[in-house]
Amino acid sequence: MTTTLFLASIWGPLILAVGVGVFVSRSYYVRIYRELEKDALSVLTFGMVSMAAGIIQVGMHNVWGNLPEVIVSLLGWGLLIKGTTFIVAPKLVDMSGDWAADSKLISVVGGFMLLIGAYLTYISYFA
Amino acid sequence: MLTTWHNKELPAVLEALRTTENGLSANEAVRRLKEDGFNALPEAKPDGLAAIFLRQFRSPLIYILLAASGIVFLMHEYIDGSIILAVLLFNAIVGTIQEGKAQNTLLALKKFVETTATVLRDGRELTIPDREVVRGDVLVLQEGEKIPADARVIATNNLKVDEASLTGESEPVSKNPEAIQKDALATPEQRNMVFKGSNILAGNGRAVVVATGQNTIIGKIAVQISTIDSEIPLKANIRYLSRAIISVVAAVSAFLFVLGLIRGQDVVTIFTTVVSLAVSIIPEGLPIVITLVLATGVWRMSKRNALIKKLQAVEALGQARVIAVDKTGTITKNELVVREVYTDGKTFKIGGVGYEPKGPVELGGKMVDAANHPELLLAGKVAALCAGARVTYVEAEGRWGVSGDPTEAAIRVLGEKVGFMKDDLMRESPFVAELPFDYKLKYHATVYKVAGKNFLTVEGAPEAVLALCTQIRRDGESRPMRKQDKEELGAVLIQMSGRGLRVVAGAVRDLPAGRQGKPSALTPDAVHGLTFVSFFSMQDALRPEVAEAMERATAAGIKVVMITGDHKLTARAIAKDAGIWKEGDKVYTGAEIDEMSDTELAAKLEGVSVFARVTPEHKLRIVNAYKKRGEIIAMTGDGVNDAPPLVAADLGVAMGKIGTEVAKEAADIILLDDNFGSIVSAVEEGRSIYKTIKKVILYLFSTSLGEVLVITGALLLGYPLPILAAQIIWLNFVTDGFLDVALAMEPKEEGLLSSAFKKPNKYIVDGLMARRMVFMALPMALGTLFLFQGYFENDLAKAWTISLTTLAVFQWFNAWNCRSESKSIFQMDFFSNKFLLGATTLVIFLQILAVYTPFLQSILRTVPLSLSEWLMIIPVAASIVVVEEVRKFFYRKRLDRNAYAAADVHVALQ
Repeated sequence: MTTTLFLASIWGPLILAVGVGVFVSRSYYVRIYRELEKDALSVLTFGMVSMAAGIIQVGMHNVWGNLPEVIVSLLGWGLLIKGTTFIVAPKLVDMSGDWAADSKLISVVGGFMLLIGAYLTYISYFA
Repeated sequence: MLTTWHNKELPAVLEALRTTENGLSANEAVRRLKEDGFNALPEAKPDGLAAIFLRQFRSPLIYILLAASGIVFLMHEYIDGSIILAVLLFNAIVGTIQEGKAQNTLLALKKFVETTATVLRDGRELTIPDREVVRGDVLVLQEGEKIPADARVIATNNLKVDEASLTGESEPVSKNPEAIQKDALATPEQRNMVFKGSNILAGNGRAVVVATGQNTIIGKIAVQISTIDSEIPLKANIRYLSRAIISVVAAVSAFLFVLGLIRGQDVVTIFTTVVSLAVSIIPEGLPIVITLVLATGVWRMSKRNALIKKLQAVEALGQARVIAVDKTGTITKNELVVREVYTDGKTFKIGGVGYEPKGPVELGGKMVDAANHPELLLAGKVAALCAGARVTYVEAEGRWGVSGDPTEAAIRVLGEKVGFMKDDLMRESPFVAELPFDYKLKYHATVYKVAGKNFLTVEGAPEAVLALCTQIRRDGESRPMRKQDKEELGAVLIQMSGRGLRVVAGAVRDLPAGRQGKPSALTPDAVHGLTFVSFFSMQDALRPEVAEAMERATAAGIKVVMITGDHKLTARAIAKDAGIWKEGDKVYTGAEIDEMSDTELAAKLEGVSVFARVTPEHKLRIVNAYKKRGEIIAMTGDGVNDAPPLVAADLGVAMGKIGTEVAKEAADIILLDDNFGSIVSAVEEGRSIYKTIKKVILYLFSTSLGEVLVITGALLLGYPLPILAAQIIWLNFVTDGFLDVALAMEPKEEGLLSSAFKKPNKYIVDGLMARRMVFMALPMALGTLFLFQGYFENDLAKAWTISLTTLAVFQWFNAWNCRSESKSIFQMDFFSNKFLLGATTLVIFLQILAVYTPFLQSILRTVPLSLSEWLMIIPVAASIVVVEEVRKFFYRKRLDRNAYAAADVHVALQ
């Protein structure tokens, strides 16, 4: 649980901040994504960093006992899968990016991030 | 009290009504209003919110769930019982909100159409709301007004009334105060009476009110329609489906109860199992999601100008195989347009739309300038001078409107198209005298001072005008009319009438000076020795959207039939132009229908596309005959007389603009723009809704069947109960609840109107759906039992969590399977239903909460799952996609084979 709380204390504020950012500066986030997908080297670099970080976290934390553990484990796996996808199938990144940037879904994703970020921040700093 | 008023002399009428020609006193009017009540049509009292809320519980499925909840409470399983009750409550709240919204929209529409009347009280003119008119009131009738009550005419000045909404006759009726010495007389023949709901087209007059509210002819029809009952198909289908579900619940429960006892299980366990099973079979989410699908359809239809009064009506329209449309207002614009002018031996074709005063002129297939044809100019001048109606541009509605007789309006518009503006003409040629149209004389005559001479123009029925003509215009001059001329004119007249055109003749004469010193001095004696100028042949203009809408309806396999009070030839000509009548089709008249029994009529409807000269009674018989053939019929209408057939039809469609209140009250759908195209669009929407409902039912029932097979399989194999009642409710309500609502938002499929609609069976579930249910339920049951058996002996709580999660994951995949019956999920746009994407993410998140949060763990009796367990569950659940993809592959092959075979037959036939 100590590792879970440690990782939650990093992930929580980070996701919470991005969640708030999506609502406050939505167009900025859309632009970042747009510019990232235009630059093939950035996609590859981003993919490699994400994959490496994902492997490290999954190696450190792959526990499925309660909700905080599951969320942190899922974040690690998410990072790993996302990094692999960026490297293996960059076209898929393009497609999902187009769709997310053009639709209201980015607000839904932002909402989820707010919820998860707030929850992890709460359990790691206030519970 | 008198029951017939047309055959009494005026003093007797006034005496019987205890009134005078100066009207009632104000006090007496108040007294009579109290005594007789408001002059309003009887209408169903709108239900309050409480009544609507309670109505949501009136369903056999809900009764079973209520009973299940009661039993669960008795077994002290308070959480499970509360969950079932919460589901029912949520369902009722959603239903109440939806029905309440539809009711409010309708009430708002009704308020919008309230009108006023002018009456004499204490000898003074007063404007009062229609509803305050009482028996004995003297009405002041003016052009353009609606008649507020049934009344006996006292005085008239060229009073013409449009009674089409009441009698179906589109010809205006001239009114006069003379008593008619016949006891029994049909409504259209009562020319000294005016009736509530009809419109004054021209002239003015006074009439004493003889009946108000439900004692009027309209009121009696309104009372009559409340006794006719018809049921929308979906409502009946859901009822059959509910009965089938109840039978299945009873049979399966009894079977399992006996099986459990034979296998030696204790009664409480078996009872719990049976309750779980009943809960699992009943698709709790179905009422909510059907309400949502229909409400979404209603919302989409409102954007297409169709107001849906009953939610289920929107789906019923999709099933319609016959649409019976009223000619006037739906197929035609109810705007007469002069199409041809015959003058000086030539026939000029006139273009243009409706009353808009512009349009091209053709002669012999070539465009010509009217200014170069003096013979046409003379015809145009006669038209402009003689026509009395007014044509104005209605800014608010963005269209040309008319006040006065539609025939005269059409002739006046022709005058303007040729270049004669009536106001300009009257400045140059002052008005001298007029002889208004009289139904006995059958013509209208006017005198103007033209170049110092009294110039008489006459327009009227061809036979009446020709009888007064002694001369004819030829080559720019008048010459005596010879026998050959009369024969030629007769032939032209027959040819024009034969094409369904209404023909009016125009003639002129220079009157000797001093024959009519005063305007009122023009008498029928002066109208003779006329010079024939022209025939004006006119047609009710087709609505521009009809042609395209007819093509779409034909492609969709919908039979459109036209019903009209017009003459057979006129009706056929218009139906042909609209694309409704085709070579070889039959036209039945009211008289022919009278000679057939109901059974004969039903048997002879094949190939009929037009019903002409029909009365309201015929319409009702036609609707019933189609129903007798098993067709689902939608009927459009606007008049009061349309109300009984509108109610009797599977689906009544009223016209919002020209429709009467009674018709709107009787209808299920109101077309706010009176547009036939909107009906066809609504059919498409209805089909989409039907398909969506099928998808949702397939999804829900396959889940229920999967759950039943899991429980039955476990019982047969001697396993403990693999899934608990609360878990079933979680799956049926939470997991399915979000996914089926998202599935209900599936975008409209393409080609919904490209083929005939397959008639649904009474349970909605067809053979393909049943097979798909089995293909989906089998992997669900086998996969769940396979994973359950690996755990239940060592850790029952873990085994329950595994089976709950496995079934949930099966459902995540299966919702995507249900999007199409033939297309692979990999062929479909993954992002086209964003609701389904969102809902899938949400239910994944909720399932994680169900497995990992203590609160839900205590309710659902779950324990945490490890990653390896998840990695075992997901591939097993994904098998449902593989199975369905294989089925879809073979189904697509079969469809392709059938399409090739059909194409071969088509080529061979050609």
